[in-house]
Amino acid sequence: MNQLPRVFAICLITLPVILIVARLSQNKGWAGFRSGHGYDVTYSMQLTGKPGYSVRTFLPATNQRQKVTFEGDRKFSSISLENNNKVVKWKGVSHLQKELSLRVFFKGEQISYHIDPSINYKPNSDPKLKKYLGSTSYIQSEHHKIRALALHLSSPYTKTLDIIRSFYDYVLAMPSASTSELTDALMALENFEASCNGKSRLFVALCRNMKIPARVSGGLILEDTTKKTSHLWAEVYIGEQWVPFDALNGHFAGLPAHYMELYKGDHFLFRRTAGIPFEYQFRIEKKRINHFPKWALINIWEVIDKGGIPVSMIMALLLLPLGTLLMGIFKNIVGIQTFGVFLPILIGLAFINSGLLPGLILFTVIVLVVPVINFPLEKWGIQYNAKISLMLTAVVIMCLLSVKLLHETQWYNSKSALFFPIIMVSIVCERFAKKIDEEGVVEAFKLYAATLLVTLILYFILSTPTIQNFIITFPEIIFTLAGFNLLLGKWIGLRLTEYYRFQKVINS
Amino acid sequence: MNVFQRITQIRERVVGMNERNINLIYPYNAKSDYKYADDKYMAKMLMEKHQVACPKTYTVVDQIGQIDIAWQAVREWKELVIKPAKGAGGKGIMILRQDNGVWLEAGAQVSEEQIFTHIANIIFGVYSFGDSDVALVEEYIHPHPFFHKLYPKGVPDIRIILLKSVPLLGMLRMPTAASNGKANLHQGGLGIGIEMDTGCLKEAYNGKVHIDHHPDSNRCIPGLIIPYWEELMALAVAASKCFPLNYMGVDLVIDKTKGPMVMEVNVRPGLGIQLANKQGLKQVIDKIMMKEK
Repeated sequence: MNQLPRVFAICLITLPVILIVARLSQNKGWAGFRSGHGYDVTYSMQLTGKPGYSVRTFLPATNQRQKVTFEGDRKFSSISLENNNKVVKWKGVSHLQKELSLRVFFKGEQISYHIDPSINYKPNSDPKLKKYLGSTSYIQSEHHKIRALALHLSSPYTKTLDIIRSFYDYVLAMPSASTSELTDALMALENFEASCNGKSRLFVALCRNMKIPARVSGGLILEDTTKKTSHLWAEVYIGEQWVPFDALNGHFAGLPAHYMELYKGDHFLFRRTAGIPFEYQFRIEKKRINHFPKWALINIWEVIDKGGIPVSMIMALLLLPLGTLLMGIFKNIVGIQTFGVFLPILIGLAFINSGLLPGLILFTVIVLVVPVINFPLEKWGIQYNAKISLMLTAVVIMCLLSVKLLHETQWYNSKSALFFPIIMVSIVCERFAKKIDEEGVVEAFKLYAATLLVTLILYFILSTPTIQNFIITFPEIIFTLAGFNLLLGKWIGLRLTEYYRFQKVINS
Repeated sequence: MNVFQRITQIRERVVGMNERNINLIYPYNAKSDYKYADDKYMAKMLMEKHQVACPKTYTVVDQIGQIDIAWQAVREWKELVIKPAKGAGGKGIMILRQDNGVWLEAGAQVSEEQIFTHIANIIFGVYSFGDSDVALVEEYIHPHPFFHKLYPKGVPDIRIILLKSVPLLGMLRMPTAASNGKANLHQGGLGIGIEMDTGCLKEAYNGKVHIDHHPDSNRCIPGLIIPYWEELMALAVAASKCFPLNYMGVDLVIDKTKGPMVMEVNVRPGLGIQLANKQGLKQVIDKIMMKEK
């Protein structure tokens, strides 16, 4: 027995794994995160404080949706925890203009909460949450105007989620003001116009009026720029957890990845000695953090970033070897027959592009059209190539109709729908018609079901973000897959379905 | 026998698709030689050259424009078979009989137009994975009366699998009413195992279960002995020797007047023969290897 393919396969499998381990140890990276970017955030302050100065601000903390690390030197006077917020202070005397700075690295993840819509509304009287229920000077939750609005908005509903949504929709629909002036809840209501801080305070005030615990949260929306503007959003305590809402930018029960939280509660971002000249800004730099550049054979993230190549294209390319290996396993180890070897991969990738449900519907519609057309054509004895041509025409019409329908219902991006027919029309249609001719509708549908099953499994594996990110970050894994394929190509064991098929051989 | 013992036994005896491809077809046959088996026209030329008995070819049609002329030359025959040279699994075969100037296929009338369409479909590659193909028109085989008793319709054939011209397993493929006259297991035919030394029939396998009688005639099958068994085996060996293929299936028929003939050969003989024989190929190969040593 020739051992060369096996030895070769083992090398193909192990060498890339060694390289990946080496790259992981040589690079500082965050491969586990979904989105591949982080932000370098530099606080930069200029002040003159002849008689002495004191400045305090907040530092972001690591939590469920953000990871923060200190970078650079730590020339501050103290760091302390106040009301669960990290407070950093500088103190000193400076006759000339002084520059204070601090750098952190931020990595955030998009988060969205599921709130049980069946939770019944009930005023919360938990003493531990008392401070999130009361009125303050900027969140005047007990004011009669706030009270009237809260009652008006909540009266049709009995579920907590519905009431919160009603408040949220009201505040979101309110015109936004570009002012950076402090706006309290009442001003926001009376002017019917507010920026982030007014809107957030009004939303919190409405919740607190209904005895739903709520608070504001402050931070920065990170962009690749230098900015001064900070942001305020709200958090509501529902179902034993704090859930974020941004009624200015429209984030309901969730936040995007580039929101950096600095503090919880209604605070000023900077507090300083009065009367001294003081300026500040945040310098923010977006950074790719999942590319593990050292020892990389090819840094695909760099190619994507610099070359402006769409990630989805490269992704589709890199997913093909994984897809073919999985197909090999389905065919030679499990023993499932499908329409063509590569078709389920292509359909799976098309599903990723179009979304699962629209893709499935389109696929099924196309597959159903073929036998319907096939029946009369077969009966009339229409020659094969004319028959296939007529079927293709029918499928094209179905695709156009589907695209139009999906576009009109705004269900999904109709551009991606056109990616579909190209593959479907050329392959499925012909194979399906042939199968019907040769083995009948039942066998054809069995094959369709098997193809669909394999396609769905492939779809769920190939659409996993962790797998996608891993393959782009460590493309050398393709060699490992090739090694497994080589082993598979020499595998002579019985397929799983053959144990069933051949069971009668030993029944004696 | 518990489940694990059964699984172990299946694994030890049966050759599956993977093993058939990797350990039998690939090492014993050169890819460039598959064409002699896959193309029935080439196979027949080779067998005629080596004087291996096979059904007479009336004509070969390779262009759609020539269907008409070719048809004029063969329409005088009372019976004929039209088949694609590169067809697989018995697909695309049309068996025609003339009755008072009317063509019948399995008792149903067919127009010449329908016959022409069928030939055109063959040439267009409908039965050969899209490759252009040629249509063979050949002699109709009248099965030996031995088969009539079991089931009078269709053409039964005997599949022998050979490794280096040594017969391994054999199976009689009988048409049934359900298979529409076709003898193929996939199409509802019966696969009947054969004792290789004697030509004695074993039980029949219908694709699901083993039975001991023909479902249409109710004739008992096990114990019947195929006529001309020694000639059949000799013919299979002779046929396998004129092909450059070392692992192959030879399909034989017995004509009531002309006797045994080779219908076609196959480079990827199906594995269902193990079910028909209740015997795994691995067992048989092991036994033969032992004998050789």
